[in-house]
Amino acid sequence: MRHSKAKLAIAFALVGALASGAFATVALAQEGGGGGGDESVRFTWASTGEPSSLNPMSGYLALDFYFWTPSYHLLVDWGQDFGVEPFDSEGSGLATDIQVSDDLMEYTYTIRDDVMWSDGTPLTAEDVAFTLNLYKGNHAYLPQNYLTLIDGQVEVVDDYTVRWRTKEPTSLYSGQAAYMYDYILPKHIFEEFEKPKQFENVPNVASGPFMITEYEVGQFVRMEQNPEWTGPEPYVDEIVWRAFKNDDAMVEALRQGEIDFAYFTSPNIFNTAAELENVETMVGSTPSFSEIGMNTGSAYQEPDGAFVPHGDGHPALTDVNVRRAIRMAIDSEQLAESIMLGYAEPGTTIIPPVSVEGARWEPTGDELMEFDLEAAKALLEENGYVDSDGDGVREMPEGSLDPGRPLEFRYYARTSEQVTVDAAEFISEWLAEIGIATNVEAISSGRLGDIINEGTYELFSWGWIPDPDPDSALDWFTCDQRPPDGKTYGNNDSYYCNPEYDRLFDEQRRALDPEERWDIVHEMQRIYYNDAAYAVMWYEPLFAAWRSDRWTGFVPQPTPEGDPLEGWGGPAEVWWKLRPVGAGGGTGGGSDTGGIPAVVWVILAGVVVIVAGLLVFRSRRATEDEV
Amino acid sequence: MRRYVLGKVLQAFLTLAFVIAFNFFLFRVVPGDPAALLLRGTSAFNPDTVEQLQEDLGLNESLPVQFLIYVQDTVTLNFGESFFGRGAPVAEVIGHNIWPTLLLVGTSTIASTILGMIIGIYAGWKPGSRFDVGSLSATLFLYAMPEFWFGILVLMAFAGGVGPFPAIFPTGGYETAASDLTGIAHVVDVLNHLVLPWTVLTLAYLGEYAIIMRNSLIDIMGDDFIQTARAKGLREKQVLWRHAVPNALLPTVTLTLLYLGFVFAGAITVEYVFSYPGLGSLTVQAIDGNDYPLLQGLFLLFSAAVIVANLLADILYSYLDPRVRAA
Amino acid sequence: MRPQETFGHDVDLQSPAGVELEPTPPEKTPKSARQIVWTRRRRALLGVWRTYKRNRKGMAGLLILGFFLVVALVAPLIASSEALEVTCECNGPPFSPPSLDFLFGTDNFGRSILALTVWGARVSLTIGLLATLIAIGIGALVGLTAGYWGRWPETLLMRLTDWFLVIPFLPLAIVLASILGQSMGVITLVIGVTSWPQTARIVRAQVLSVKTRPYVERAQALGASTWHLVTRHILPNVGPLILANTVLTVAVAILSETTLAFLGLGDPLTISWGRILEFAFNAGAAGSGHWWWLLPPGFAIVLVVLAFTLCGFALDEIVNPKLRKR
Repeated sequence: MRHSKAKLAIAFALVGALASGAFATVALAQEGGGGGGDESVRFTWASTGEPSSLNPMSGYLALDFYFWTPSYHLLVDWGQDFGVEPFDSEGSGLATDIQVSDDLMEYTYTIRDDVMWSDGTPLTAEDVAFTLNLYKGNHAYLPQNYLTLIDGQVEVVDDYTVRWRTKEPTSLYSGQAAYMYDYILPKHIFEEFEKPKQFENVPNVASGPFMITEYEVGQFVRMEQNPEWTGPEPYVDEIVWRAFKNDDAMVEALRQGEIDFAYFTSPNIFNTAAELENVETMVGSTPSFSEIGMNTGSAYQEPDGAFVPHGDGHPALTDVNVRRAIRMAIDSEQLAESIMLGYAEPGTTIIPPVSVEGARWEPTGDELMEFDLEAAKALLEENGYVDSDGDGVREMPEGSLDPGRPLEFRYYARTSEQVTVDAAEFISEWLAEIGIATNVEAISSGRLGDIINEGTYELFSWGWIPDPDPDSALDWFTCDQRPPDGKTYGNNDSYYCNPEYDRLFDEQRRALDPEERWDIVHEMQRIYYNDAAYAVMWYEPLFAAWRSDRWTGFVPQPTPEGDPLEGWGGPAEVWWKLRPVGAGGGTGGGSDTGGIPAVVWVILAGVVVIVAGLLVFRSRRATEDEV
Repeated sequence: MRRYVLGKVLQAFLTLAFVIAFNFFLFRVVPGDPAALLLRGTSAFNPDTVEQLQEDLGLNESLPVQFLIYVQDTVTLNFGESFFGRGAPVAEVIGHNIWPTLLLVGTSTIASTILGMIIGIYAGWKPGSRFDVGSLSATLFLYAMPEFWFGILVLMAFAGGVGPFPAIFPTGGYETAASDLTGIAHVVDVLNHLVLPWTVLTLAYLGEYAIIMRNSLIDIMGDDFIQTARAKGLREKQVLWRHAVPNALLPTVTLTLLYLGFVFAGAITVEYVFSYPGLGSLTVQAIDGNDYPLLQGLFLLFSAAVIVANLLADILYSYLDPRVRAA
Repeated sequence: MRPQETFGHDVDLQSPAGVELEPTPPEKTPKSARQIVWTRRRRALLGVWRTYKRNRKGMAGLLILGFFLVVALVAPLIASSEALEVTCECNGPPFSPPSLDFLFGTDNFGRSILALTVWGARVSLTIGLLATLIAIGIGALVGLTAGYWGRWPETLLMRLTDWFLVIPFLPLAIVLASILGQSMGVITLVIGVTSWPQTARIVRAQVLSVKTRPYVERAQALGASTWHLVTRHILPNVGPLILANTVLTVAVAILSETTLAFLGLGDPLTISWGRILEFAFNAGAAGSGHWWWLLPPGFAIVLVVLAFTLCGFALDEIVNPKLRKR
């Protein structure tokens, strides 16, 4: 009996000790606060997701760029509004002079001579030539796309001059727009590797104001000031990016001061953040759009080169009038309002608002296909798509590819993006009203990719992130980008093919005069918009929130409402303009927890133990009597 | 006895081999090309780059060749490279995330087992008593409650602060990031972040162990040898602690081991809710990112853990139950 | 994630558990024997019901279940199905707390959470029940076959069972969902296919114990066919156990569906309780303190699972007399 009493007492004492120990540590944690040096000024920003790679050769996510903008230079950089950053300014690219040959096939770049790598080596033309050849020769995923027109190797002319020839006449490298999105890497580091794409690049040797010093996968990336940076000295000593699993946790961390700045993806949660005290927000636009893509005829187009007709898309979508009617039945404003809580910009053209200055065209007046169900119905009626059997669904007219066939479309939303499913609910209802029946299915992105290659769909929902320069985006819709044979990839997931469009695409690549080029680019957009192979729903918003009581000096790109941390391009001004508000800024890591003081918790713990003990002894006494 | 154990070990190996093969084929059947999925939507997406990425990821070999490479690699404990996180070896990525999960799952399993058993003993000791009914109701309630829902409520109350509840705990994570804490300060910080998920996980599974213990005890209390012990004049307390509990302990402990698989699954959702960077969060992340090598590695790890736990349970059981020993 | 409760039906204990129903007598005269059999069965069932009625837990569980079943059936009377649509004019302002118009408040689209919860009952209950049918079907079949035939079928089937038990449920569910698509059918299938091993084990153990009972051996000696033995002797003794097990499996199935839906694997085009929680969490309800969005579906789940568990407990107590109160 004594044994069991003792045993139980010990058990409860242990539990009590555990409990009060836990409470005590909590108390300590609150009072003590986190670590972090008092002298070092640290800026902590956060987002969900994970970098794909910190090596510019193998990274492809938008997040990766935030670690390259403070570390590396481009040859030609973007200014705050996506014009060209003037050569020789503080945040400019490396190029100081660009010579183009008359036949538009030879380029000579002269670069600055005052840039140093963080290990003390000067940055020279050797690095430039080496990097560009490295990207080309190793099929670096993103960077090589801008180098496809270069013929052969980039050559070093002298310490600060490089030259190359192109395969065809082109104006893309002329510097009128920042087209080459290629960060220049240190030759003496990267040449050591047999497989440079697999180099993790941490810690890195940098030419910008900061260098990457530490990376814990799934946790954080730390960047420290580059001692060899020759530009303006930043106020910030250290930049830390923290990984979060969800937006919710970020709001809390922002509120408690664990982080200084956060990018959100959910409009709902962003609203919560916006209501916090001492938090300022900005809603910019990212260069990306979400669209409803349509199968314009993978089964009905002519064989052409590698392309053979395949799949079983509905013939009605080969008719531009049907596509335009669909466009008119989609209320982008309503979608942006309901699903994105009004933060996204309603979509029209495929070049987003955030793009190189001058590139974007906007439909106006009569050309703008506004949301108008009556007009959509009229358009279909006029073109012979009537509902002859009264079941609410129109059929194909006489003389068409498949007369009498009802307009029933497969519509694929993606399970990984709830917004596509939400949008599908709206859109299928609008389409039903104009007499088009849709069969909505939510599938995985992987399966949708396969389906698109096969051409066995009518409508789907997906998105793109174009570069600021429109060339790459426009390329996606050329004839030779169509998935060719039912199994292989192609960018052109609407199977759009227009020889005029293709011709203009080649022309814009050769237009030396910027105005001329933008005219052609605008014309291309007009053609594509009118042909309505895509119905662009909206342009994705960029949600940013930060502790305005601690930090100031953000540089939105573009102004006035853009990305406060200037995630596009080379050395971003924000990294030397950002500074703490007043004297005691910066995160020391401590938490602003208002709450019950520590002492109370320890007392509570003690009470729990005592009460538990009483209960035990009381019940035991009772049972003992029962014997 | 030894033959029994050997037999069980052999079975375990067979199961493991099966799992390894299944693991491989499972992820090859998933539609969609991982390389294409990774690049889609960016300006890097074109057939050339996709092919290049496929090659870099080792997806271009024929299926049998891939399988052979896979088996060979697995045996040498090389689990390939994760698709994200700068192509870090899967083993390394898992290694980074395993400690927080061990900490969380380990401590909460021990706590809930001990607490659950104690409650179960007292409930089973006096079935029908107020304590029994009360604790049974409470544990039933906990059992019926999705652990992540409980987690969300706790998060809302104690980290978000709703109504009368104070927001005193951090909202997630393993420690305050990039803070160079060492020694006691570090331990305290970690514990501070551990409190909420630990509480949720402990309470979530406490009920199971309590119920098992309770019912085992009731079962045993009806057995003959208990009557004998009573007839011998032993007090109830002695009967309980010296005879009943040791016999009830066995099925409880073995079942604890068998439940390990479920505790892992529970850990996945709880880690997700609290942004706790363990294997659970890693799994969810890998799923979102279509990171097959990582998923394969995790899959294998979880299966292996459950196989080993089952094996231990079987061996433990056979050692202590003479009926099986004799068989 | 929840394992099923096994309460002392520790399959490894191989303790005989189960009501000893009287074996049905061998056919004497064709006509009246059948009548006798049916009368006996009816009496047995009534007996079970009477015992069940006396069980407070069981009745409480049954009441709660009844309530939810009624709610699920009369859902259209409580809230029109239009209220589930994002474009419904009946929607209110988003994120509003409970009020007279919207008893449980509204979600991010302004939809009534009461409507969502009530209609969600149908989906959650359906998936739970169907998945259980699949699980019990497979499990009972496997258990019966393994227990009755023994030798290599048993080894093979038990190997299979062990293997299924070991595969981690969540990653498997995820992969299956991405291969087969995320629909109600797939989720039901996934849950069913991953829940049968526990049933199989229990059934097999019980079959093994029944097989060795004297009257079974007697019948075998008399030359009874397999069919006769299985249907007349084994099934009636295994049946009650399977029933209790079934009820408990439903509870687990509903919890599994909730977990899968919460992690984003549910059918995106339907509303279940798990999906409501998924929306709520992803829309930041926890951080924003929108408790009205999180509590109703959660409580509904707790109550329904509790109800099934209580019923299962009650049935189990009937089946295993040792568990009844002293």
